[in-house]
Amino acid sequence: MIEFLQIILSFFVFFLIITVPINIFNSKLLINKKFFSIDVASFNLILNCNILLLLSILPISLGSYNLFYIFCYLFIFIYIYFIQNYNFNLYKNFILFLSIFFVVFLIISANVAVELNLGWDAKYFYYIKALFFIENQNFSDLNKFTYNDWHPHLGSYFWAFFWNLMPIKFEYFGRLFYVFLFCFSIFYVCHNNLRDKFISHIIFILIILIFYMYERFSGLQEILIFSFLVLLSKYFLLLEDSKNKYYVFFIILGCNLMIWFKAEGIAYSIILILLLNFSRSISNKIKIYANTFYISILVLKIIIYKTSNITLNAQPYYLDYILNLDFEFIIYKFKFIISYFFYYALTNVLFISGIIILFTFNFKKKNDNYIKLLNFYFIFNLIFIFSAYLFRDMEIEFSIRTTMERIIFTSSGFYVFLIVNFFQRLNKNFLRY
Amino acid sequence: MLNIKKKTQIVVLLILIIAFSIKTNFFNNFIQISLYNFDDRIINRYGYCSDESIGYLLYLKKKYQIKDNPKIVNYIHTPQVNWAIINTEIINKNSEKLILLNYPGSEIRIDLEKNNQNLFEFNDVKFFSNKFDNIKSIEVFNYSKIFEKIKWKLDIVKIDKSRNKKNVKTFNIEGFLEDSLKVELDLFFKNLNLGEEKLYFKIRNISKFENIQLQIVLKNKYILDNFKIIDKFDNCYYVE
Repeated sequence: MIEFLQIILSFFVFFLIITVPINIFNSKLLINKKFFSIDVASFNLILNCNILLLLSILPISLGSYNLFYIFCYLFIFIYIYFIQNYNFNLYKNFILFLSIFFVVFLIISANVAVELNLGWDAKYFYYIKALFFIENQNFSDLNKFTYNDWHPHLGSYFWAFFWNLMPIKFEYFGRLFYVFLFCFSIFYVCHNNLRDKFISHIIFILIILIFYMYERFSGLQEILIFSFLVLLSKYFLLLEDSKNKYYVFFIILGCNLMIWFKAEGIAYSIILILLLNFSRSISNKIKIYANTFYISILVLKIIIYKTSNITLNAQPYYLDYILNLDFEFIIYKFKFIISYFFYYALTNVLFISGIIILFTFNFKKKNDNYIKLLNFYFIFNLIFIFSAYLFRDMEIEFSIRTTMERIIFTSSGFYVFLIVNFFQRLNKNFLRY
Repeated sequence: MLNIKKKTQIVVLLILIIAFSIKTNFFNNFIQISLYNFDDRIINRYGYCSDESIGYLLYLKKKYQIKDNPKIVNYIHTPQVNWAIINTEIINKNSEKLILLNYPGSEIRIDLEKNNQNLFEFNDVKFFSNKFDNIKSIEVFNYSKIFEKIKWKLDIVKIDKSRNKKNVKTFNIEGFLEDSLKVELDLFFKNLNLGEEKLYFKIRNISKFENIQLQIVLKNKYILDNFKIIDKFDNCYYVE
């Protein structure tokens, strides 16, 4: 029972991550610019994940600051919501609004607490990396770990951060943050503001009901990239509608997180930056700033890896191999890639629904900028998936069978908002607020 | 008083929440969390001395205060299990001690997978190659109801990820084939230099015999007689 109470406690800890440091009800900086509170909550989330990223690479052991960090957040929370501003009715409505989110989080968390089984890669990479932080080692110590070079550390750091934070220190409490991220991202794209919208709640639960499988939360990192793709996909539409540059900033911060989650995060982040460049809603000046900001982030990552003696990427891609691929072998590989791609695409409800809706709207709304961006995403995503397997120096069938399902799943994140919006506004103006 | 519309909405939401609870087995999960502690649930999930045997590893870690990263050899092909007791501070160092999980004895028999009439695949060869010293022998099982003297050639072939074939060694299979025939191979894994290659056994001149099966015998790298047993449960051992 104590464990169950701690699951509830963990929700409130995660809740701080979306409510602090920017007041989600009364931020003069953002609300005045027509941002709904739930948008500000998503900004808080991205901002805080970036702060955690920064902390993760500092040469300080996790145990020495993570409790202090959360207490600081608790203090800020009390200050900005109860001392600086207090509005009982607004808070009551907000809590009622979030109750569905809380219940869904609780149901998934209970499942994670009982299933417990870690995914194959989690046992090889991510759990052990999380253990490094739990055992008070820091980022630069990761170079001792042979498999460290395969994937970045940020997901493992989140895992360790919240695992170590709880009074009862069981590893799965760290993974509950993944559950929270996932639930919040779906909740965010299903709701436009804090008004209790019945249809939004229904879509939220239905998506989770159709989508949910425990394996996504078994310590694998795909769920993190998926969740941020879900969030950022909505930013792209809001950017098209509002032309507000804040979204550009938070898209790049989201990309920054993705490159620290998994090796393929860099591919997704590049695709999103390309989409920004194709967007008609931002000026060329902003595009130059955005590209410079993104390149700086990449350079910074390289510098951090070099100074910590960590190999940037150990994935099996070699120039020699790529140059020596003969035509017959390429065709041989393509046969496998195409067959399995169709199989996994057809078995992923979100991916296939997203593509069908996208194709439908290509015929109906040819001039919609957001649909055009989604078309670009679809094309770049296909190029990425095909080239990832074509150029990978690994036995093709084994490689595909062990990873393609997860890549399709990750990619489907960007279509979730399209699907939600389609159902929300089935008979209304599609893709308009 | 809530109006009818509001009440209907709440009922619909409740139905969906209940449907999701049923899908995730929420009520059972709630009972499990309330009744069983974390360690029991881990054993329930991973097995005590079966499959990944995490229960036994956690028991050893607690009882012997293991912090020196003993090498763990699991004879059942599962994801690696050292995560359960690893000490990251000395992650690259292994102690002299050894944990053997699901130990099969000094020898193990493996059925080769028949790809076609004369081609047989040694599945999961990489997994076996670091737990066993050599392929001691091969046994031909004849279900063809043809009994006669045979003189076959057995090619052992490696195929790499780019589909390049390499004939590793050829053996003669000679003798009178009744129900079965055993041939000594003594083929050491270290001489095969296996990476990601697949290993095939190809028999030449087999034409008459349509129903043949092959079984190989592998010799274990770790013989219990050579170790001092510190702890034992079923076929899981902690030795030095």
